[in-house]
Amino acid sequence: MENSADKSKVPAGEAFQTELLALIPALRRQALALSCNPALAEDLMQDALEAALKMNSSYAQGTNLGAWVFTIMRHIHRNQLRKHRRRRRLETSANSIRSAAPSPEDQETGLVLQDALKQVGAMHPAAMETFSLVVIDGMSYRDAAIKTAVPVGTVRSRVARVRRIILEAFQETKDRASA
Amino acid sequence: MTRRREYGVAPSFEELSAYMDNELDPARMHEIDLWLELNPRTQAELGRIRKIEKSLKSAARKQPPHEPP
Repeated sequence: MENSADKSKVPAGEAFQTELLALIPALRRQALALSCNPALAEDLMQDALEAALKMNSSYAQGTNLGAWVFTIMRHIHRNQLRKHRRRRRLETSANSIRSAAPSPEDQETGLVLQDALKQVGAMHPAAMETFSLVVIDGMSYRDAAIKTAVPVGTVRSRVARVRRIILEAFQETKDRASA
Repeated sequence: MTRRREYGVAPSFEELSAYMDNELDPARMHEIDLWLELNPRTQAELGRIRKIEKSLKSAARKQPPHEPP
């Protein structure tokens, strides 16, 4: 009796968290199955837990919590894959410019571009994705803002940041050549 | 001086980038057009970026789409 009385005093949020914590080993296994990489799996699991905690009010009590969180995890994983593909697509494009370049000068352009985009991809992955949406896919700043869930001003500054890095990379190459 | 008044405040790099994407209001686009006429070096830099992006876009189009069906 005492136990059930105690349980009734536990806030719904706390019960939800307890149930969620008990799911961690299973979620970890599922994250590893999706990402095939222990480090990425850990990040994916953390992101899914964080999202589940934020969205706990939309969970229907009494339904399968594990299935609900796994659905969230799959969505996150799919979005991460899309972002990764966009970044890879840019880097691969720079590589194909280099390999298809008719002259040594064009080959160097491809090489500098490839290095610059690798740098952007490593340091500013979100900027790389936004740049890809605007420059490669031709999206407006407004549409890219909706797609990436950020304000239009952020899209504007991200695109400019990538352009500046590319421009600086070419300037450095030019300076080195003339030194 | 007349020219200076026409183009207003010199654009920042971020504004120039938005200009390249046609994301400024028409009045500011026109001011930057005028400013670029007086700043051929920056104009050349924008031309270079445009050329690079054109190559990048063309190479990216030859690759499979990134969005799953």
